[in-house]
Amino acid sequence: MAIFIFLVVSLIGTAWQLTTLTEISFWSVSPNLVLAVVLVGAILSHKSSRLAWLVFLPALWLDFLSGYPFGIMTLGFWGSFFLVDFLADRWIKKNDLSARISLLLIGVSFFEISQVLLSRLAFSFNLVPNFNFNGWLFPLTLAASLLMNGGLALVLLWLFNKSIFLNNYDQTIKIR
Amino acid sequence: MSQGHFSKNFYLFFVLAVILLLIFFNYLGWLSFPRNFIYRISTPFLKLFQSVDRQVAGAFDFWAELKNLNRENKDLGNENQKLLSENTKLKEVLKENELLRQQLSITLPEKEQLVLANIIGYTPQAGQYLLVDKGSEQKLKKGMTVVTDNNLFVGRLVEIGDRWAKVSLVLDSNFLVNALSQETRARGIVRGNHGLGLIMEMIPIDEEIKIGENILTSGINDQILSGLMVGRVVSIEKKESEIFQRAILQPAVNFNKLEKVFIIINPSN
Repeated sequence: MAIFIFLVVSLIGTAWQLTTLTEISFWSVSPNLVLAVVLVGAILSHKSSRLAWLVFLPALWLDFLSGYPFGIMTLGFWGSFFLVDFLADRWIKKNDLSARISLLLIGVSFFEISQVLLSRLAFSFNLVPNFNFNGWLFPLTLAASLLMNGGLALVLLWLFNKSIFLNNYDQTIKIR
Repeated sequence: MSQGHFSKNFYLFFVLAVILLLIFFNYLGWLSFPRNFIYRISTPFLKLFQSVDRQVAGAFDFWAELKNLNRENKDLGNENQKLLSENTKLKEVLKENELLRQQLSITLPEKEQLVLANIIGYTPQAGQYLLVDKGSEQKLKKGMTVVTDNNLFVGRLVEIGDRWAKVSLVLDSNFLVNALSQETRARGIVRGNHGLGLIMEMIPIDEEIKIGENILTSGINDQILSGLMVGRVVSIEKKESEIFQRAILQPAVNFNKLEKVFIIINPSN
């Protein structure tokens, strides 16, 4: 049941991402709810190992529904998750806010850079018609993304920490 | 390594294997069924959010634009006068054209068929793609031109499902379209400026181009119909040391307020 609820919620969240959130854009960067969920999932994955695959459901929906060649976004999400999860195991021994903020910023930066590199790779395999990268603009978009997505992930992290769903997640699965 | 770590790492690499497998399946074209299915179940949510957005944005825009109403009204009045005079001249030219066609026995080109589609979503990054609720069931094909009701150029279809299609927007920096200026006929290539507007590049330095001129699609080489308005020149960047100049364009379409688009089914398609 919990998985079904997460499936529906992630589908609604992805739809919200592709409509409302895209319209809120700053320096052509929009808040990426799915990225925020993936990063929060990576930080909290020590609470439940099943989160490691559950957070990829909205990522897959988004990749299916977005216009990019399939895989670019999901691989970027996976890489960010893996990196943040790896670093979180070493950094977050205590409930340290500055470590969490650093992890979120590293995750967002990794995702943005991975999108550029994977798009470049897709272009070399003729999966995208053109690859146009503006080196001057990228630091601005990265800054906007760090601000927006880092902030969004931080809020989500706080909410998830408070949520009953996460705290009882493993129990919910067992009951089912 | 603890049991928890092993379990999590196993899940992570299992997910990676699934992702790579899905990419491979997609490359082989085997994902069209799940993709269509996901579009179908997402469409009601996409439509719902889209309509809520429009209502909220509409109310917000009304209050935001209230203070500019006087000035806008004056500007529109002036533009209306200008358009009225242009319209009268064009009607005369149209009549003259018809007469000449009759005399020369030239038939009119076959009219294009238009398919009306609702916008149901955008990509996470602004100004790249949008999703519409019509697809191969309405005989849409890849590469078809997408316009607004006033024949303003929106983009091109890049992917088609049975009841959905993806439109690559002219605002996307990877989208290139051959264009020309309406008055001076200067040719160049228009591309998106990373979602921040439009740039017309590759305009030969000796070509004259004016601020305020309309930029139209030229229809050369890119399967996009000619004569569709792309934008208006707001500034020109010219350096004597370079062989090309470039123009910054104001997009003709207000993409934030776009709700419906038309897809042109070209008779040759």
